[in-house]
Amino acid sequence: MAKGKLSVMEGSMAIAQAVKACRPAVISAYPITPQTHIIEFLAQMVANGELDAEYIRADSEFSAASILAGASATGVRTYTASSSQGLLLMTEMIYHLARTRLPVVFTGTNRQITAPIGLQPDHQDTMSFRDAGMIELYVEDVQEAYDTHLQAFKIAEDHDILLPVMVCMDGFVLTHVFEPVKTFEQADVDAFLPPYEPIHFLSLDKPMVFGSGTDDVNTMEFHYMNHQAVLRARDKIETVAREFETSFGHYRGGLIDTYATEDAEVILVAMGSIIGTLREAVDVLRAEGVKVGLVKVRSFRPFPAEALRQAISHAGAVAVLDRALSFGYQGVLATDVKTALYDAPVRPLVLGLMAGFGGREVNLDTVRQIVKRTQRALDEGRVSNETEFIDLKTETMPKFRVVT
Amino acid sequence: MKEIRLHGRGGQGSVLAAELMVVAAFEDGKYGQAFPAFGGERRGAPVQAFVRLDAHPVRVRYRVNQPDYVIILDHTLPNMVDVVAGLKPGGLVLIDSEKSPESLLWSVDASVYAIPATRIALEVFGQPFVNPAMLGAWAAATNEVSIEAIKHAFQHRFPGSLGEKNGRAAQMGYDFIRAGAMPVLVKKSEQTPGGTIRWEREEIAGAPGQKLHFASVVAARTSLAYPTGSWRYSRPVIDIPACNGCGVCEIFCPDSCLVIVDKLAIVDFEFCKGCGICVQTCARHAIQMATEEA
Repeated sequence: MAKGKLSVMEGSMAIAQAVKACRPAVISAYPITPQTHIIEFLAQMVANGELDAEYIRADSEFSAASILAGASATGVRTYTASSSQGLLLMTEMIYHLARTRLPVVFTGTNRQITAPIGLQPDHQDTMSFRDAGMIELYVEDVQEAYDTHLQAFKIAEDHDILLPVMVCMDGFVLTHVFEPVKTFEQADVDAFLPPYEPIHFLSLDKPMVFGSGTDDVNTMEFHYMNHQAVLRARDKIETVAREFETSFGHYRGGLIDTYATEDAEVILVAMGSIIGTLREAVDVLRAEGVKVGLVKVRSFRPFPAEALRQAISHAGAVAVLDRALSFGYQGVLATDVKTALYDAPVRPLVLGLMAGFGGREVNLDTVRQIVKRTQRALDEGRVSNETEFIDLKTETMPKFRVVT
Repeated sequence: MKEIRLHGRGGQGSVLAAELMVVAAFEDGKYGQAFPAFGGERRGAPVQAFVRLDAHPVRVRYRVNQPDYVIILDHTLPNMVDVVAGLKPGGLVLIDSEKSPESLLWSVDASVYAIPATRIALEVFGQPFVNPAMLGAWAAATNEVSIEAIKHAFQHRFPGSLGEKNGRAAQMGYDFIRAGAMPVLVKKSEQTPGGTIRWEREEIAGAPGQKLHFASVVAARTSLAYPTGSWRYSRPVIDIPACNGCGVCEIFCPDSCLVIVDKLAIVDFEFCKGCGICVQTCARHAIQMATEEA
């Protein structure tokens, strides 16, 4: 049954309303562009008495994450949002939250990392948590961002999972856009998301140490159990998306989403807000007779290797559009896509392309250029392992020795 | 799909105008998206906001580079910013101006409506809130949304008497077009926007037109890369007989664009952002701010 009210609002307001509807007990944050509007709205809601939560404005992102580690360890629902350098400052605590299995929900409003300083969105900040042991979901529009926040608490707090979850949304592009978004009644959200029931929490009756010392005796076991929990989230992310559909009437979720892939010779693989532009480009190119399709990677961790194999193995060539780079190797997503294909009986060619890195614009013409490049690789029947940088302005750089 | 670009100055409400265009279009049964240019915007600095309207949900997410409509909230902007860059053939421009648009600089041939939005705003609010009259005029000139939806959007955002005033200003902008105002066909200007450059463009890393340094580092004085003169809506005017060349203003000018030459303060308008600090520092009251004229 379809529920909800469609209205025009800012992406940040939609996130604040989603978080409010999830009834967090403690919110702690430190402001950073482009996350600021989200926490301003939440602070206002708490101040107005609309949201019964502790709002703690910390003195840094590290403190905010630490405060939430303490709050979550008391067994209550917790939330924060940050971006770029602010997320990096949380890094130490994010690893801690994952291993102590505390289900804090984060919004990562993607922004390039300093230096050079800038405000444009790419994925270098959030993808640096690839190996932290948390769950990361990337969204393409405000509706999906809203829906995914409701789902995130349910995934994070599931007793089979108990992990921090980060909902990653491109800064400005999604945080500062005004567009129609469907929001739901409190009672309907309450019916979908029950209160958090912690398994382990601080109490005087049963004291516990969070993050105790183990050295080589037990460390690998804790890491293994964390790893297993992230892997179990592959099913849970899908299950929760189906429960969401039952509750609210539309499906937004899963590990990946495919668009026009069935008979595609060329498939684009990407994450985040760029997906909307790519959907449009696929329709435009399909109308011209180009057999192109699209795979959105929604869950970056756990990585949907099997789903990807099924979605792209039959294609002639795959172009991975990366917005995060592992300096000295390849694009981060491209590396994962190639690894996922290693076990496939038939493998498409894979091009690793940096597109939208540092916020460089990707428009319909850029996508056309990328698809042409991929078709050329298909015609030639080969690709190199070299990462290509789309729209790199070689003329602005000084002379240096270029290696591949 | 219709694509719209708004040009204004920080603090003027360009982003609010963009938002309310989508709210109004949504009431009329259309989908849309509105978003600002991404950056550290400052009060007075030229800013942009973008709108897309369509019968279907809008999927593409990059700045509007080829607008159908350009809305300019400040008449001094065309001489400083290429406001009509990428304007689609047959595209329409609306500018808040009492003057004929032919006196301004344009980078392409264009049809331009001059809307007396500041006059309307001063009459209705006593303050230069130009958004409602501009959006009312846009509704009349393009029929993309109804004037009722524009008024509702303002009234919903500003409940009470302020919303009513916004509605009245929007109606006046609408009526101005409906009363028979015609667009002026402007020709591509021979001149390009820009002012005097006093600094020498040395061969230093990060300066305009120079190669990047290999590290994310730029040389000193590379505020040369940021000609902040376009932020200015008022300029310092020096009273020559009163200035004794003491140089206090030079010390306090945050962009070193005010210097003493032959015992007289000289301003580089390529970089002067019109902050007015020099006015405050002048013991002889020899500097006054004058509103920028297009």
